[in-house]
Amino acid sequence: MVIEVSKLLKKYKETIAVNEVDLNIREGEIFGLLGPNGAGKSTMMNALLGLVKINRGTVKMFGKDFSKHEREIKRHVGYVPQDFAFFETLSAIDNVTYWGKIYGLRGDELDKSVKEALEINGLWDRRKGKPSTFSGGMKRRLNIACAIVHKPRILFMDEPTVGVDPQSRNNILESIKDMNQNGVTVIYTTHYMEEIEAICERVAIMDFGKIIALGTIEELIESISKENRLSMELDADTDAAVSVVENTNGVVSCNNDNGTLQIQLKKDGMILTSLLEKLSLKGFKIKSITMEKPNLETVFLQLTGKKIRD
Amino acid sequence: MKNIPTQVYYTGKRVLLNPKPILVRLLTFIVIILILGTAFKNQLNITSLDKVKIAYFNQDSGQLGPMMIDSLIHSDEIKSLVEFEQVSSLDLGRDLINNEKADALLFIPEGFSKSGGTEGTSKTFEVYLSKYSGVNTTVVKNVVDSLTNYMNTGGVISAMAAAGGAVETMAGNSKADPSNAGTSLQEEPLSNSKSATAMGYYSIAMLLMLLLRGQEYGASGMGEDYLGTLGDRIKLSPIKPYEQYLGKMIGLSLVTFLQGVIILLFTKYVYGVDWGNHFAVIILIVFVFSVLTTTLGAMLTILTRDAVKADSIANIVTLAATFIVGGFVILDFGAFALISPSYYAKSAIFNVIYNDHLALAFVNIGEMLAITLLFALISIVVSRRKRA
Repeated sequence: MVIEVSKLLKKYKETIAVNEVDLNIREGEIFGLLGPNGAGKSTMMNALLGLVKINRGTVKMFGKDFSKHEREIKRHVGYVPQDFAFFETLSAIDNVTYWGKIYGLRGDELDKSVKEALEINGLWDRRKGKPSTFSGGMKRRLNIACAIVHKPRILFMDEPTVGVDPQSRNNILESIKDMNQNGVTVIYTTHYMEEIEAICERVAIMDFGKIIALGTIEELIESISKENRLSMELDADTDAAVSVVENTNGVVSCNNDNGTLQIQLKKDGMILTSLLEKLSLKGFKIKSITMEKPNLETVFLQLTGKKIRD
Repeated sequence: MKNIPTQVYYTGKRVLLNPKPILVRLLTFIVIILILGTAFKNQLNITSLDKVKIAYFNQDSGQLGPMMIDSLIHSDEIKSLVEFEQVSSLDLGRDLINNEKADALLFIPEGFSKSGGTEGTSKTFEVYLSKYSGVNTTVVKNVVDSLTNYMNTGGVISAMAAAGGAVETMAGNSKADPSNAGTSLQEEPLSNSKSATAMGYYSIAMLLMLLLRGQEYGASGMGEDYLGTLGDRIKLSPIKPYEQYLGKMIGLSLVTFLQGVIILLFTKYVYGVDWGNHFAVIILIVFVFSVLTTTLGAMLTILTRDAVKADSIANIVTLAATFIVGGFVILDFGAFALISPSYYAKSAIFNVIYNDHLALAFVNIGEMLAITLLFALISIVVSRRKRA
């Protein structure tokens, strides 16, 4: 394990931000950290990075206690914050060189690493440009280049694609995959569920300071797929249909969502058949029916009761 | 330690690559100096000062003492600057000084004529100065220095020669021209090089104000390192906090220092301001004060945990500190002025330019370094305690 978190507790006065969390992250994986606003994922990330003092618990990286080997561990960790963390008045190459020097790189090694970091992020041709002349996507990529110039073994990325166009987002995701293939472990937080689905191997979902689900995306989907969800549109009197559906064997829940029935029923093909027959017998005419395939968003919604962007 | 030069280089480069605010600031101060120096010309220039009042007490019953006094009080050039008052005892003369009714007292002791006023004997004349308390007294001191020099050397010789005295006995083979008796004062430190002109005074005041604005660099620079996302990234890097702090402070101090040097050179060569005979020491004072103000700004950010708030406080400090040391209008706040960081830099510069007293200037520099160290220690202690 490249990161081992044990019984991590962080409180702000009486508010518990991270509540006795245990978490292991494997070397070489892209690990997604999900949670609604206020769930504790930022505090969790800050605690892992040593940016906040923790009240209890331990954080180990590379098998070493972070608090005791902070300086040594930091050399192998990169951090891409959500906000831009570079100097606006310095050129792109100066910015990346600065961070390379801070991490102890000098001479040819520095020059080579700076070039690589800028190339990976597609900024080599604009290396002499100042960030103030860059687009949002280029600034995001510069933010990443500054974080990877020292070739970290672990890279923390906090919403690195906020506010960028789809093309830049794809470029960023591709570069993350490339880095990962070169052995970098990535811890990734985002509000974009499709990004998690596109690049993450395992995901932890946090809420109220706790990890409420952990596993691969397939495992998480499977864990909530004991039930089917379907949307049904009728031609009239949806409210009357709700009680009919609710009184059908095997239906877990039903509600009227602006004229569309949202139905949750046990995974059994016979239940759906009998439900359709019953509605037909009662005279309801079905305009459309959609069986929802569960995805990570469904998992998130079911576990937290909130949409990811709430 | 190798990270310190990196920090210094990139910190300075970042600020200097955005030259517009610096140029605007420099231009503003250059114009302010011109306006104040011109507006207060008549109130500060030495030609407008009241006459210097010098009491004298001649105890010498020989010829030399009375002749010297006589030559002084009848010199037209001296009379235009100095008003003499004879007193009947040393104590009375001292009382006049203590009561601020005289700026200096000349005392010629008994037996002065017999000893020939030779230095190293107990029969030399004595000069008592009132305590230094500003530009006027500095001028007084220079007047008295002139008189002292005059009387110790050329003045004595001239006076004696004028009286047909034994010139050769006092001054070897020199042949003094009696007509020089009244003019030697003009050639002494009363010349422009030691007088406080309005332009000179406000050049010092505005230079110090400009350097005080170095707090803003300290405040925003520390805001980057200590607060916000950039600060997080720096904290996550392996750079040691003291390397980061020192590099940043030195880099930002150099930016302020550079601006100070530009003002120094501009006022020296364009406005003709006299910065004294020890320009290197003035440069040193400017550098040390730049470090002090930068460290102060950084401390304000650490104490408030808000760079914007720290910047606002720094602006108030700049104005208040300048006002307290008489930077806008000449006021004497007495011991209260000690709370102004500018006080120590101003004293150091005055000691170099007007008093030619380097030892005192270095004491002031030492005080500034001690204050800087105090600010740095407070910053380090508070920043450690305030970590969430």
